[in-house]
Amino acid sequence: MASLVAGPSFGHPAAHRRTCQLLAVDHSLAAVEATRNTLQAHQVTEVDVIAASLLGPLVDKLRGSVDIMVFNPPYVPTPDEEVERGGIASAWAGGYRGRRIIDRVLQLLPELLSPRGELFMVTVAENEPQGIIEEMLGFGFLGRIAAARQADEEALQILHLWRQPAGLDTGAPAPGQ
Amino acid sequence: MKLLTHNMLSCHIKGVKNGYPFLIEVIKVSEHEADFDPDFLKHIFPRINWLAFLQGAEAMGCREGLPEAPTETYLEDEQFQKAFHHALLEVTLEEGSLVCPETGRRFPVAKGIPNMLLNEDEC
Repeated sequence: MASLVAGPSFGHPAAHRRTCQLLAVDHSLAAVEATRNTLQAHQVTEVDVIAASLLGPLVDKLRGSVDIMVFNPPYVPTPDEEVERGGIASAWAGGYRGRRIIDRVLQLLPELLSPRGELFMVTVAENEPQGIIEEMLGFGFLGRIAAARQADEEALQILHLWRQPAGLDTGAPAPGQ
Repeated sequence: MKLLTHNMLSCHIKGVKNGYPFLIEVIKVSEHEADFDPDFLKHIFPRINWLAFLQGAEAMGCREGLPEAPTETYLEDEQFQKAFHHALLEVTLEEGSLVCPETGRRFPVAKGIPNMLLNEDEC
């Protein structure tokens, strides 16, 4: 499931009330229906839900618009053919190093995110999140591991990526900190 | 599906060049109250394709009070803010279709959720 947030950026003083609108996207019809039912049960109306594969119908018009993206990809290392097989396995199957879907979304990131846009993405150790941070430096992104937790056999790490500000000062705090 | 979302959707069937905006076929529309935040409206206004927004609002029955070609100065006017806020965020397509303007392909909308999944031959 990917969630995209549009809203006034973090840089403003907290005194102002801030609203934002969210898009929740997943390729599983069951997942999107469950999401919508949950939202309705909690009377949440700021979220629209879409069934789509990899943000396909949104990429063109969302260029440079996404302020925050939260992504829970299929990150489990599996044989590559499991990635395209469909069915329930598509909820976890990430192919070689668990990176097939992750890498496709990372490719979209420079276009999708707004100038102050940020990505939060769930990864496991096998995805080599530090390696992702190093690779994304070349595309003008900074990154860090925002949180880490052991869940049974999975070493979960929340990867946080954001654009390098123009005139980078390496001592500057990350947005949102 | 709100008109904010409709404004961001384009047809991604392979080879389609003019797949925006989707035409909206309405079976059922609902309305709800959304928190009124003029700062959010100012933030989102530059990202809205106004022509597509008007077309969508016409189909969803909330075109009233929306000017043809507003500029940023309109954002200071409370009447405009309210009309913009209402059409953008408070009207939801519950049941209907999004129709690709180039191919005529219908993407169904059920329980407020557009199903944009492509068939194998469309990817």
